[in-house]
Amino acid sequence: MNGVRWCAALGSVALGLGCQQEARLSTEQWSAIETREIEGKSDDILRAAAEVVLDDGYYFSLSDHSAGLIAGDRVPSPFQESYQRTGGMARHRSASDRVVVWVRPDGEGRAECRLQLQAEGVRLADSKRVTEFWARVQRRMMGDEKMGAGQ
Amino acid sequence: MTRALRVGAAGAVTMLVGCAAPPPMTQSQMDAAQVRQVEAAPDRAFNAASGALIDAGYQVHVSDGEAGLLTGEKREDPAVAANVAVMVVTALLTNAPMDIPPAYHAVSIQVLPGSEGRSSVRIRPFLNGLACPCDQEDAAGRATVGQIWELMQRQLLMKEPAGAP
Repeated sequence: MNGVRWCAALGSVALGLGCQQEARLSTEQWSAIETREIEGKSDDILRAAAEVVLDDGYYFSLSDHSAGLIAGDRVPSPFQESYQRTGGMARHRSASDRVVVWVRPDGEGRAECRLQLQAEGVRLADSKRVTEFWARVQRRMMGDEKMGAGQ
Repeated sequence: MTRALRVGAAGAVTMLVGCAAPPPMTQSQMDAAQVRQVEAAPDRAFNAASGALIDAGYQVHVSDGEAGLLTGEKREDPAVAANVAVMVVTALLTNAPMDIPPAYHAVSIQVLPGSEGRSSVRIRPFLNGLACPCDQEDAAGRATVGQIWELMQRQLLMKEPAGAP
């Protein structure tokens, strides 16, 4: 009996350690991690952000241009069968990877840009990935400018 | 044992259908495979893209004309004979018959304004929620891009703008 209890206890500890958990941060901490200021028109930023969302292999799951919002989802390999068996995009409710982009104009030629990241349904506090994402958005903006000038 | 067989069978089905996890591609490689230039203003190009998705049998899930973004998905059921064969084999081997799940093909499209009334259209295909790489080895992904592009051009030809010669 004792052995069973030990096994159950060890199992719960292993589960607790193995599962991803959302970081417990204050609203201000989340905002600091997820928000960057970028120079440029909010329209251009949003357009370039949508390109980067596609580059990263997410499909658009939400878009509201006037609100400056785009969301992208992708299904990690372990959840693909569940995605197939639960009705695809329309009804899939199991954990997916998600990015949510929010761009708000902030005065002359600047915008406040926020990126929320989720992996397997859990919100990530990953400042490095946020910085990388917006750096790639800026590169895309420069590339689009060049293309426009070349045409 | 049962689980290993199921995982193996699911893996084999995924490989047969054609798309695998995307290997890293550079931005220009991705653009070359997925982006097409169209001689139409963004709003016309967006309408043509919507029409092409619907013509190809996709159900539209996201549409934002202002942003030029679209997503559609369609379900493809496995052939009955293949499904029966998998059920018989898994029933014999594991006593737990397993069927082949349907495949979900999706496409996300971004229409970008260009200069002089042109637009560029990016077509990105997905299989079961995962992006198709559209590289040389991914014939299914490239075929999807080609099909949507062809249907888009047809839409543009069918609906010439008013005042066109």
